[in-house]
Amino acid sequence: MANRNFNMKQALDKEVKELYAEIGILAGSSTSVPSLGAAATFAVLGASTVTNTGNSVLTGDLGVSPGSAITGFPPGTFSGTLHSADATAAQAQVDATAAYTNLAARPFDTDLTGQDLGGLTLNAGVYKFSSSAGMTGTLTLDAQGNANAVWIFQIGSTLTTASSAVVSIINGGTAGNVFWQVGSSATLGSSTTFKGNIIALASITMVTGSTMVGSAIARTGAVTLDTNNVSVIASNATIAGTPSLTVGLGIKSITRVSAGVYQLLLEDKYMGLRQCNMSIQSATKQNLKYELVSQDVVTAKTINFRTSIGTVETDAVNDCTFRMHIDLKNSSI
Amino acid sequence: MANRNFNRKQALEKEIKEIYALLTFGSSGAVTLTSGVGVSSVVKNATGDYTITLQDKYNSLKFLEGILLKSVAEDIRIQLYANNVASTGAVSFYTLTGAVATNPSSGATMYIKFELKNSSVI
Repeated sequence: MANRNFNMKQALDKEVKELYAEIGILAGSSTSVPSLGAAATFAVLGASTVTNTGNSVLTGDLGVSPGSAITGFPPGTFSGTLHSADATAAQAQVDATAAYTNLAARPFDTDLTGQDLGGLTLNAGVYKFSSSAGMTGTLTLDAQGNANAVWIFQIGSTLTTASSAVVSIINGGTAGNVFWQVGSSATLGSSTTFKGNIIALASITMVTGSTMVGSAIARTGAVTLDTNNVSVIASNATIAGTPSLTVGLGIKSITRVSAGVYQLLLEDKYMGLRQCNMSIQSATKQNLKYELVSQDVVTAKTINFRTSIGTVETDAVNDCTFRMHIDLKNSSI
Repeated sequence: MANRNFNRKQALEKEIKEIYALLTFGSSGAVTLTSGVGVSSVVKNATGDYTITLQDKYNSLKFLEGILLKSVAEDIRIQLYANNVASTGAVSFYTLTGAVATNPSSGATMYIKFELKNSSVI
C-alpha cells in the first residue's frame, strides 16, 4: 500500500462527513429478465385504442393509454381490471417504454437478419433482426433444463407470423421469460400459437384465432383483436438491475424502487446533504446518466437516485458497480 | 489565496486518501499528464480508452470522477471499466458519447479525482 505523507482534508463547512457505498448491480448477463413494471399485469395494453371482434378471452388486465377507446368488450372478456386512460395504464406505458429501451440496448448474441424463425431451434440468448422478422412453421425455444432461461428478440421493424405458426418452448423455460422488442408493428397470423411478451413500438394485430401466452403491449398505436386468447404470465428469473450493497460503512441498505430508480437508506440521520456523486464501472459501454431523485437525510435517512438513458429511467445493462461518495453535514452550525 | 478557517472533514471509513490528476488532450485523443501528485502515467489504449497508473497500490478504489474543461460544449462523460488499484495501481476508463468510445477534442483538459482506501482495516 502507499506509504506517503497524506495531509488532512478540510472543508469550509463545519462537520462535513463522508460516506462511501459500493453497490453491485445484478444484471448478470445480457439475458437477465427486464422488469415490465406496472405493465406486467396487462394481457393487453394499447396506446391509441384497443379494438376487439368476436369472443376474445383475456386473462389479465386490459388497458389503453394515452388513448381511451376500448371497444368489443363484450363480447370479449377479461379477468383483470379495465384501465382506460387512467394513472395505472399511464404508468404501465412508462414502464413498458423502459423495458423496451432496456431490451433494445442489450448486446445481441446472434444476428438472424434475413432468416425465417420457423424451423429454428434457439437456446437462451439475445437475437437480433436488423429489419423485419417472419415466422412460418414452428420456432422452438430450448431452455436446456434451465427454468430461468431467457430469450430476447430485437426486431428492427415488423414481426409477422404466418397462419398456424407456433412458438414452442422445450426442456423447461417459460413464456414469461420470452421478450419480443418490435421496432414497428407485430402481426400474429390466424391460428398462430404464440409465446412471449410483445412490446411493439407501434401496433399489434392478432388475426382470427391466434393465441398468445404473454402480454401484448403497443407503445404508440392500437391493439386489434379478433377471437383470440391472451394470458398474462409472470417471469421467473431475477430482475435485471437488482442492487446489492457490497461495501458501505454507514449505509444500511440499497433497494431498487423501479426500473433505474434506487433508494439508499443510511444508518443515521444527518443535518443535510452536501453532495452525492456516483461513478459507474462496467466493461460494457453504457449510455447511462446518474441523477438524484430526492433526498431526506434529516428524517427518513434516504437518498433516491436514478440511472437513465435520456429521460427514460433505465437499469444498467450488464454487471456493473456503482461507487457512491456522499458528503453530509452533521451539525446545524 | 483563501484566508478562512477550514474545518476538518471526516470519513466513516479509515485511511481514505485523495489523489488528483489533470489530463490534457491533443489531436486524435493523445493524452498527457499535466499534473498529478501520486500519479505515474496516463496512456491512450484506443479511441476513447485510457489507463491511468498511480505511483502506489491502494487497498481499494472508493470513488473516481472526472470532469472535462472545454470552452465549447462537448458531450463526453467517463466510465470506469477496469479497477486494478490493488494489484497494479492502474485504472482504465472510457470517454463516451452516448455508449460510443470517443476521443475528447484537442485542447480539452480533464480534472480527475481518485478516492482510495489505503488499508484493509474497516
